[in-house]
Amino acid sequence: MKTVLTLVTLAGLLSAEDKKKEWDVTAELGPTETISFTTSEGTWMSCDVSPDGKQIVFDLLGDIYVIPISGGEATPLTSGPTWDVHPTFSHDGRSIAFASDRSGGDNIWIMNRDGSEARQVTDEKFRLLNNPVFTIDDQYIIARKHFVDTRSLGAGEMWIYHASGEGSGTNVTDRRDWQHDAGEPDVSPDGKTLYYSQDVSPGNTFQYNRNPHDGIYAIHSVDLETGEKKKVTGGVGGAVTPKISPDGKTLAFVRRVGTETVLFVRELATGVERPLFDRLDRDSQEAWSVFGPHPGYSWTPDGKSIVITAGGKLWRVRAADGEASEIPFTAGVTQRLTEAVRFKTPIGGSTFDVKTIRGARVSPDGKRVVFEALGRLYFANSNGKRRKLLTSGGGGFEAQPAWSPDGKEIAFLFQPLMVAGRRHHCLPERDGQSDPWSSPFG
Amino acid sequence: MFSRDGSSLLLHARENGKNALISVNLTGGDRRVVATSKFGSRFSIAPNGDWIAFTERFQVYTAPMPKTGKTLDLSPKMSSLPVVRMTKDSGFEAHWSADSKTLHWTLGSELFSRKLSDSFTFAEGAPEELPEAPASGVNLGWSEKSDIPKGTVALIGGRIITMKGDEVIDNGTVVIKENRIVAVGAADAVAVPRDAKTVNVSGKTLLPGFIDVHGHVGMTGDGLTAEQNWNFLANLAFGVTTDHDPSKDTETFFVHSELQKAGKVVGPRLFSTGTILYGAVTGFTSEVHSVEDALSHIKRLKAFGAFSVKSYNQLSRSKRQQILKAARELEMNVVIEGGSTFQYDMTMIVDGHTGIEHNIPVSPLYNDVLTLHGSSKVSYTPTLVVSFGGLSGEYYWYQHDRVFDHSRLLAFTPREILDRRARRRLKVEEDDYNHIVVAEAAKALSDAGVKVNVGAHGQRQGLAAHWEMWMLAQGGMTPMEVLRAGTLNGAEYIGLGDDIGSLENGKLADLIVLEKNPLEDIRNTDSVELVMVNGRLYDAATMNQLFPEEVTRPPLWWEK
Repeated sequence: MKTVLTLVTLAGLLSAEDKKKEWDVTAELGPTETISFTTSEGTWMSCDVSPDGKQIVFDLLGDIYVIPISGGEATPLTSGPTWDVHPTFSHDGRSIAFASDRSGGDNIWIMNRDGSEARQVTDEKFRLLNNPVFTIDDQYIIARKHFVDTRSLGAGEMWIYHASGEGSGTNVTDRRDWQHDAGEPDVSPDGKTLYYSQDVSPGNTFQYNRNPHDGIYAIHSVDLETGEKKKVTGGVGGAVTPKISPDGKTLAFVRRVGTETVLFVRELATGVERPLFDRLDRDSQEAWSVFGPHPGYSWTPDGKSIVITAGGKLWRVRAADGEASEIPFTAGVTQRLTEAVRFKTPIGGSTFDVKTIRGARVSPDGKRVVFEALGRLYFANSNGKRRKLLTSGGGGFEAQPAWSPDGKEIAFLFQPLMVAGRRHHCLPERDGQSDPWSSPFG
Repeated sequence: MFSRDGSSLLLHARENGKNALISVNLTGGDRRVVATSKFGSRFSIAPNGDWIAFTERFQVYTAPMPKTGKTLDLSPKMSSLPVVRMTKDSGFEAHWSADSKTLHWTLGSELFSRKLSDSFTFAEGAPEELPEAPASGVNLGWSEKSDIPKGTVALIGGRIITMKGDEVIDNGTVVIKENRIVAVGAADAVAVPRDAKTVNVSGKTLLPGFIDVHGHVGMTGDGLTAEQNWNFLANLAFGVTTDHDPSKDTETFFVHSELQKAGKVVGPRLFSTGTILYGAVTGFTSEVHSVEDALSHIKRLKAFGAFSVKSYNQLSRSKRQQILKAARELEMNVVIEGGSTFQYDMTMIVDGHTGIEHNIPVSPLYNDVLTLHGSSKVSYTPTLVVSFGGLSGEYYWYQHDRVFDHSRLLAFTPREILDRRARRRLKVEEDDYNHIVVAEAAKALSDAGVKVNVGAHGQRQGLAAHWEMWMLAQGGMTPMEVLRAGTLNGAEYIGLGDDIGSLENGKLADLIVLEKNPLEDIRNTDSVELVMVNGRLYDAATMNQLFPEEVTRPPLWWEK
């Protein structure tokens, strides 16, 4: 028992040591300049309405702001060089969860409603997280976790974490493969159903230039008691960014119609879908969209309206008839810009340095080295001195020298007037021995 | 490679999704899998058969090789056997000494050697404390003469768009001596040296050569290098005199770059980041956990002559920042894959990357982003030809133009490639082409102060740079703004603005002569009649050299 305790203590010390060395994303990377400006527009803002209906929280250039529900001057809840996005209220209205890179990569954090006491919920270094949502009891966070394999494009899974930050979470959904995304989780008010968007395009690899009119994404649901999965809606124009109404009866989502991106509602009981607001900015269904194919939005607690971004503004859209009114805001933005890395290189001089040595092979006796540079084979003493061309040349480039075990001969590739374009033209017609040209070893 | 006793051949292969070293007898039979590795490759067994070296993620590793009759699975982190990382920074071409006691490799122009006795405590002759991996090796490189033509040539009577501000000289003369411009001005103000060859270009338009800052130009890889490359010729024939490739195998690219400098291959000036600093999970991932890691990766690329690196989908901001910090220390530029992720793009701007490659996936961009990006000095290369978020821009040109029937293209592109891509193509409603709103956003950024570049992404070689310019015009840029994006902006972006990008005294002689005026119609940019790179003048239609000597281009492989 004592031994175990000692080990635990040691582990604790080590992790404290590691933490000291952790990278600070706010540390200066070079010369900086701080800019400040006021804007009444924002690009790709995710927003959420407080459970008491009094406030809207939204992200703008990596900071989180709050405004009264009727609009007005925004109060920043977070600031600084860290990138904070996807704010979402807890159901008790006391906390806001969000995604932030303040620990190095994107993780889920929770802060008090006034922006104080930010605390880390997830601690991923590689499989990063965004799009948090509280479960109905506020005990857990469900968020999208990013999976990458051999291709930098990735896939999403919904993971659940205890809001205390204890534990390392577990997955609620399984990714289709390594390259079909899923994300944008939302939980029904009875706590029983998780909705999320899923790339349902065919194949097991990501394809560019997919046809949104065929439908790329669909909204799926998973029953959180039985694990049963269903497709809720999708089809022509796809369906993304599910947001369930406060009474659990209506699902709002976003779909492409022709060239418009449109906010829709679906009555879950009947399956009737109707378009509500067709002025949204173009969704990212056709792109690779780790942060979601559309910014987050929110029902008002009375279920009568939806608050959503469009055209750089925030709008209140009436669920009954789609009548939209702007919620005006102004936000003071302060950002620290690091001066762009930019170095000049002089070119065009009378000489240049030969740096690309390929295929170097030291001779069996260790005294010489043969290598390819500038299309020709050279040999030199293994200290680099007395460099000479290996052959007198046959009018073509040479490559890939290999010594015979006795060190007397060198085999290499050669083809006169090698041309690019077709594989069989790239193959040598023969392996040249060092003859027919004079060779020092011949 | 032959086995020790010469009875079998050792070959690289794939086995169950892994890289493998296999042995076969001299008739190809008796196949045996000697070693495998998920990410390791370039296996090399020591002549005495007792050791094996392999390369993974640019590092060379060595392990003892027991005889088990079974396949040995290799990894830098394997627990089955002792394994040592031999390289400090990176290593290429690892091979053994004849006595199996030393491993050699190269990095750039340096030859490294490390004894097993300096690597394993249990190796014969090992000192009590092992030395560190060697930090430098024997330099095999040298200073070579650049290809600089002799003589003076004057191009007389043309309309010169100098790119010095909005300057246009209606009837001007450019004088070039060797590889530099020595005079530019009104024809009546420039004295043409008596020994100059003169070329009458009256009625034509002169411009600096185009600069493709995101050009994946086709090249021959491992093995023999092509002495004539249609991709290079196609770029020159369309007036692209400088290529910066932000993703190409390091050795492959810099072999060609040096050959071009030496005048042994005809092509545009060739610059590259070399292999990307990749964040996905592969055998060529650049693992970054600290500034020291990043320094090591960047040194690898600098060793081959890169002056820029490509940060590529390193998902954590900390890793992207570590690369930036290391690059600043090593005086290297950092171009970064925007990766179709708006939020990351914004952090890339805030953190001061040299520029963002590929379009910001969200359009339109509003006042917040325009002000932020416009306040930075971070450049933008939207590569509209492959724009994210909708159908790639190139589809537009394949739809609207008879690309398969383009005589200039056909002169320098294998016809089969054009037929395959261009004859049967999509018909798309105009309003379904997303690249136009992406280009409008690029114009808005440009108006906000962002320097926008032309990057053709290695799409239709040569022509795609023009597509890119024409698409910038579709977004609302004026012809002069488009031409600046295609010349001076790109030059300054990659750090070469003192030498190329405009027609001014002292700059390098990279220029083009257009039959028609692009200020009147931007689609005239491809009416290239003459192209000069580093002072050598070519007829763009044939790529025969006109100055200093007349040289007929050797036939391309399909012309024989």
